[in-house]
Amino acid sequence: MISVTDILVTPRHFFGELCKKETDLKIPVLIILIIAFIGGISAYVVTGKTMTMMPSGMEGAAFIVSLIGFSAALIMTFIIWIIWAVAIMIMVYILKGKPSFTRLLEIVGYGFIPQIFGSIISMGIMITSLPDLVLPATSNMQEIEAAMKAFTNSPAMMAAMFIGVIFTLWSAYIWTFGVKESSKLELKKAAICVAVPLVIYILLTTSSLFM
Amino acid sequence: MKPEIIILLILAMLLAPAVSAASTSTNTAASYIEITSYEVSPSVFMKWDTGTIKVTIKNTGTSSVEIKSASLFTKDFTLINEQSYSTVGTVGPGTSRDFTFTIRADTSDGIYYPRFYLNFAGGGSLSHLVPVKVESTPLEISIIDIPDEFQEGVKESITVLVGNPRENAANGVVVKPESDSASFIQNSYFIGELLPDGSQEVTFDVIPTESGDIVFMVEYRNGLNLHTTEQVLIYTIGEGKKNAEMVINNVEVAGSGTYTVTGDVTNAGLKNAKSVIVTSADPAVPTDPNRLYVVGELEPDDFSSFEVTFTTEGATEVPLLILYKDDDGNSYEEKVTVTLEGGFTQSGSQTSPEGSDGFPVELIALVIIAAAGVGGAIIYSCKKQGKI
Repeated sequence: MISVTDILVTPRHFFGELCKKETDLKIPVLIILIIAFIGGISAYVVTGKTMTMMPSGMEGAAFIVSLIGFSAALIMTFIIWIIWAVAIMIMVYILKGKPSFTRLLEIVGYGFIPQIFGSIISMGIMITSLPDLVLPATSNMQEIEAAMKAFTNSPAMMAAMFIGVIFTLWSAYIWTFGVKESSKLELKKAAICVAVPLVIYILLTTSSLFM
Repeated sequence: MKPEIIILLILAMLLAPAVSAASTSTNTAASYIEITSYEVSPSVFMKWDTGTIKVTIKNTGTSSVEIKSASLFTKDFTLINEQSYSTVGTVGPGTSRDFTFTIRADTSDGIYYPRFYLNFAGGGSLSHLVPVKVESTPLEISIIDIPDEFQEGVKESITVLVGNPRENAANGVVVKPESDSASFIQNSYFIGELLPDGSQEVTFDVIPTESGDIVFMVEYRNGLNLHTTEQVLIYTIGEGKKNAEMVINNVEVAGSGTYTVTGDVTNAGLKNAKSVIVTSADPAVPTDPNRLYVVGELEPDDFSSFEVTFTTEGATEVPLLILYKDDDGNSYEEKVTVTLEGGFTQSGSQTSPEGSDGFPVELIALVIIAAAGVGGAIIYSCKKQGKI
């Protein structure tokens, strides 16, 4: 039985013990599933809201599109999990560590635990803020594009983005010890292995602010 | 009685009537001629005016009177037709004759007495003093009504009063406004005759283009003589403190990409605002259904609601234009900037304070608390792991 407190407070000790055992992805998958489900709810709400922009007569499609949004968020969370693991593995290779993809997948999965809190907070922001958002019903693509851009730059979406970045930083802190223990790298190199993808992630996430 | 004496008496009696007749013809000529009237035109001269003195005589006797010459003696006026009556001729019994002298009043104000002089052919003369007044007081022009302030391109009315303080009437009175910094609807105003102590109000509509002065010039005639007098009005362009002033409040912004802005527009000025229209300006692009919102007329302290729709990309602030006109059709424009707040309606967030960029304070606080919590957890973790 794993202890969440161990992961969050003493990740070095936790991953040290974990790396002595066989790789087991059941719990990481469960963690990712929880995050994916929360993210899916947020996506469902946001997609449903953006469907109000569609011209009248498309109300029936709104539910289906919202479900597609939910599913996409669910799948995207797993894809992001894998991307993080791949990115970190590449960095470990570059820094001449000894990576194991499944082990990194397991470590990244455990490291996603802080993002459960982040996802819950982001979902709360979405649910409380979106009812106040009024989107115009239009079929003009330029207007839809402008509205979507304004929507993604809305305070609620920006707050959700910052929350995501903050909790990803916490995950990165945890991953650093996991990489160190699993790849037999110095703490400094392990930190670099995590920091490089992290910086790319932050730049990509916040790019909407500068465009 | 001696015969010589008798003869002398008879001769004396015979000659007496002839001698008597001869002396009467000289003395009675003057008594037959009467100056029946004289006329001075203009009745009151101004300095340097040219006018006439017309003297009318009549032979009231039963026989003709021969007049050698007529003239006017004056040292105060210049007699222009000096030799006109150097020979006159006979004035028949019961007939009249006019003598007109042209004079120029090159003297200061006062009452003068040129002497009219008739020289009879048979000897003797007749003279008469003709009183002539010289008084140079011009017409008075007073500006009696001007707007509190002038505005560029805005038509305003100016009322002037032209008065005649003179003893005689002024003719052909015309008022003309002149300015390099303003134009006028009326280029002149003809008053005509202005009686003594009379006055006439004249109103001009002026459209100033910049600060400057307006010269109101009065042209008038005293007899044949053209005179002018003027009054200068110096004005400066003001900001229109009595103008209609549009104020927007209760603003609510809804939408994202395509926005709907609703609110109230109030006339906080002192004049009516006509044809009030609310619309949006660059970077916003007005769009249907309410590209323009026509409010109509707003009286002072009156208000009306409005709703405009527009699209914009990336803008956080959009100017709203309020277009209106005054009673004279002059157009005005006021601009009010509205914060879009990322497409959220302000109704929900108006009561709560906002961050400097329109970011709700609750969200800022939430992000800060999350960052502090995560930071605290990481620091705690670092300390805890250091002990292990």
